[in-house]
Amino acid sequence: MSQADALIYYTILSVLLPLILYAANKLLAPKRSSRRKRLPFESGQVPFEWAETSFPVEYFPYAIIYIAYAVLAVAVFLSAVALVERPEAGFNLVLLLAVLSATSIYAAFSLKELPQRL
Amino acid sequence: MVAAIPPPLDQLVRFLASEAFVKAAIFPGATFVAVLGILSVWYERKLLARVMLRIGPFHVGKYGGWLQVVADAVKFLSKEFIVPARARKKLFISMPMAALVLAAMLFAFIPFSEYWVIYRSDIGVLLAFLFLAVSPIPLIVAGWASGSKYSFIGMIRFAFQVFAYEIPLFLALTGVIIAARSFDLVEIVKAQTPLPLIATQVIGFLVFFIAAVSEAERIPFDLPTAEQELVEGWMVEYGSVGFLTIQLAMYTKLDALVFLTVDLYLGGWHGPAIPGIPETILQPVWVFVKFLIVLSVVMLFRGVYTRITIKKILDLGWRLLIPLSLVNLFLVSLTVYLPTLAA
Repeated sequence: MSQADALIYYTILSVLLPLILYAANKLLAPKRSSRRKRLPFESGQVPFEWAETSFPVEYFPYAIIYIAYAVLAVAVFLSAVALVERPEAGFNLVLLLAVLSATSIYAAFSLKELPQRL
Repeated sequence: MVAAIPPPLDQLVRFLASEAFVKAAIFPGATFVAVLGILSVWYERKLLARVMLRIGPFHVGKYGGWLQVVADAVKFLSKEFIVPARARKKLFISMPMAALVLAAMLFAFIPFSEYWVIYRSDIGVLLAFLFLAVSPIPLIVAGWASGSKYSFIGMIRFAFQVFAYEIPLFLALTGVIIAARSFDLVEIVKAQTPLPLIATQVIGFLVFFIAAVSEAERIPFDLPTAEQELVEGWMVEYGSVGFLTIQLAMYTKLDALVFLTVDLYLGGWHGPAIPGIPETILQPVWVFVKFLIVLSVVMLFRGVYTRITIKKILDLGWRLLIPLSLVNLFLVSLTVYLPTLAA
């Protein structure tokens, strides 16, 4: 029980810490806002509007690969959990990981050829 | 002693001296985390100064200018907190707080010895990874909510980097779980009695360490916050207490990641016994000594490496670390499976 208590106290304290910092700032800091202060930072230039054209997202292929690898990591993790329980059934996992490492090495070499911009 | 105190107060004293409160509030809880976050900033400044043949802070405080960090914190607190015109105000103000809370929550699951852990759980590794995986989200939202072009570009870079390095981190962690055959962080450290896991999983350690440095946004992987090109990237609009909170969150996260590395790969609290010092004190000391060594290495990176381009960061993550972590898992599963064949 004391473990759960410790976790609860710790959570409360770690939430309090930023609140105390913000409260201290509220007490200590001046509050004289002006339009000029609230301008977004643009290296000293007068800020201009956002461009209406589409923003080219570079390295987009990587984001696509992320989806594949994220699912894959979950699958590997689940099979690894099985190994924790029954090491004698490990042959399936060995097989799976052998295939996966081989394919990921192949994918790593072929990724080099991908264009970085779509 | 407690009996001599009048009734309403003795409850309070008993509560303050209780095991749960001491762990949560002092060590390894809130006080320890806050002091460690502040002192690691000072340590980094001193160490970098030595690398660059400077002295570093020395005016404020008697020993090595250690009070300089406190002075900086007070200065940040006494500055006006400006919310830019285009920012989403609620998100802009609340996200640094969320970042600090999530980074601090990591410490709830990190054991310093079998006794010194705030919350020991059967799935401690998974809980720690949960907070690790969620912790970049407030930072991404903070960059997005700033409503500035620089912070938007920095945020996109940050998101790409985090995506690339979370999977190798997770796969390396899986190797540790298979080798130690437990999800409990205390059990994982206990499983490293003859040899720490780094001896059998060198590849896994390298993958985890590089991914951890990247997660903490340290040079050479600090592209999202690049001070020179992107003027602090996604946190460019933050000043005053917002900046202070984000910095504290980043350093707390770095400390937690280094402690995790020590517990997962470097044998945690196992170390030679020193006669005369009881184990309950010696074990956290060993963890801390190992922590300081790893932390110094991470901070030295900032002194000796240059920032690498985003293409190289993504290439390293996707094309090197993921295959390497899978190969590491393959080797680990072989070391678990082959002994069962012989038996």
